[in-house]
Amino acid sequence: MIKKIILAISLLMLISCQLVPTTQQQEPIYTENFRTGTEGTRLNFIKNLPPEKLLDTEPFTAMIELTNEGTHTLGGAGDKIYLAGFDPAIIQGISTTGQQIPQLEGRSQYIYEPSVDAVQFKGTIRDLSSLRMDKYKATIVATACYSYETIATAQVCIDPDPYSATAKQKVCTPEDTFLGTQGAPIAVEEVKVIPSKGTTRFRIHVRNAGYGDSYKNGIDYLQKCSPYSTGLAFDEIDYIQVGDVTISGTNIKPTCKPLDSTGHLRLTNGAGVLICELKNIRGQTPYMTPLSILLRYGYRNSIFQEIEILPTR
Amino acid sequence: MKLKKIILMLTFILLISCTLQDIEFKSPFQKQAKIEEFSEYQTGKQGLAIRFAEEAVQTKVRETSLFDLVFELQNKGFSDITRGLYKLITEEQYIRTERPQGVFLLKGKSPYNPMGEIKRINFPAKAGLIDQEQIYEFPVKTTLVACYAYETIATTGICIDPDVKGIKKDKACEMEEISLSDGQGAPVAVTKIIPRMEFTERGAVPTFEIYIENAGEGQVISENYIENACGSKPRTNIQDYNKAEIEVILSDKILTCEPSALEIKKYKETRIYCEQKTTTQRSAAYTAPLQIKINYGYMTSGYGDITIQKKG
Repeated sequence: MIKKIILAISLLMLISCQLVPTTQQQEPIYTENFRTGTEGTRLNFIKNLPPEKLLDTEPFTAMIELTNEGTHTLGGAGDKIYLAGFDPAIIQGISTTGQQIPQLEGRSQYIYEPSVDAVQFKGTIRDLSSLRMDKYKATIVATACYSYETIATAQVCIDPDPYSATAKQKVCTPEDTFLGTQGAPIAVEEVKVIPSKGTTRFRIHVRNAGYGDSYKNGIDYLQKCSPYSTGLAFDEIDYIQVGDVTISGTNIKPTCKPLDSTGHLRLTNGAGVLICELKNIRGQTPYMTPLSILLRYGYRNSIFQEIEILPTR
Repeated sequence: MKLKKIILMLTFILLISCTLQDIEFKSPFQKQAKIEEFSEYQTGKQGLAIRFAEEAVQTKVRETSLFDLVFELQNKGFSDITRGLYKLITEEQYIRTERPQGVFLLKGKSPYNPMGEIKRINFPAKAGLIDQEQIYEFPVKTTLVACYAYETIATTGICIDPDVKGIKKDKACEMEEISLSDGQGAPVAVTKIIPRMEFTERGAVPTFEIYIENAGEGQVISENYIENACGSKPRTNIQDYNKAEIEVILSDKILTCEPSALEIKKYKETRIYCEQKTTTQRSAAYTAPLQIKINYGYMTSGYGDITIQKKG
């Protein structure tokens, strides 16, 4: 009987040892496909900072956690986070110039976890009983204003003579490419390839896939993004700047339309189309080549927290 | 011995649990209950109420007899009455009183005095003679008129949204009309506030259209006219009727209002337009406190009937 028990226990131990995952099966050190996702910066109020209810004798503290979910590094000059939505005569001491977003590395083939940091705002609350108020309700808004980039690469087929009379076996056929997302709020969704003899045109479909607003790239616009400034105008919001469009080592950005004088493309209902072309294609044989697109823009997203301040009597 | 220990332990546990029931965790937001009660008292559209205390008087008196006229004054509003005058009006031939005028103070509604302070005013009186021989009983009306200085304070959080063009999608609040149908615990009530952002040469300024009405039973008079309406000063200046003063404050800024002299008539809504002198530099919406303070005098009255009976 004892022998049977010992045998059963040994068997159990052997089985359980097999079931435990071995440490040799480690996750890869780097991931190639890190350019995914549609978020840039994700914001969160840290729990109870601020609390939903507080008294007018308590200090006001708000802490916002920032997570860089995308692939571009945050925290450059002008990247700031602001706190607004309240009356500065009630909640006093909150800087109107905002807080600098700390440097947060974007995801890469070596960094696959998003970078996280936090920013704090501290203020004081005015005595409400002097205003004969029973309570002060407000929605606190934390707004992040920052510069971001989207880098998209698509493998496209270039056919110098797509409608040639001679029948040939081709390496590839020009066709549309779906790119998905690139680890940034502005996504290059699709590249439509329109071949012709000696010239290939590309219709590049771009979309604001994030939860915020894009606006023109530049330090001036970053400052205008502040809720304490005069604000971004109608012709400054929903724009992205085309940084570079290269194919086969050739910069084809000068051929891209419709761009304004500063190289910005307007998004309508969050989407836009850029048309570029590669001219003077030589040779007869089709070939695959990477098309690289670099977009630059300012981005703004906000989070909300309702608070209620009660007077002490 | 063991049993004794068990019994002792059980008793101890029982004692502790009984004590624990009495201990409440004092959250700072228990104070909120009191504050919510406070806002309950700052509602309603009444100020001073005057009632003839029939239960405390003889409503039927004989000729030449002495009796008391008793009126009850109750402050059903939120503000304290710190300056009040009353005056008893009777047909002197039939009811004579020694001191028909006086002053009164009454505290308003509060958690400590939910109904508002109540006072009774006693007028020692003497019944006169009925002239007409055929009449056995003669009804006489008595009126107590009271005038007092009062205040209406309406405070509300209001959304200021400088983004008139609607460029920004996510906002902390929406600028919208505020209806205040419950009153502010005073006979003069602010009923509606319509906020708007307007563009001037100076820039964008928040403006407010404020609707006010006399929701009480009496009449609004100028605060300076109280002595004339109910006191010994002559009642000559008709222009002091329906007059009130208003002060509107947004955050800590006093707004400019038109018309500057407020006129609040019975059965007619008064509209006043106020704007901030300085422009707003912000582009984001925020909630700010708007305080409307109206100072005025109020005149109201109460009635009572006394029947004088012939002696023989």
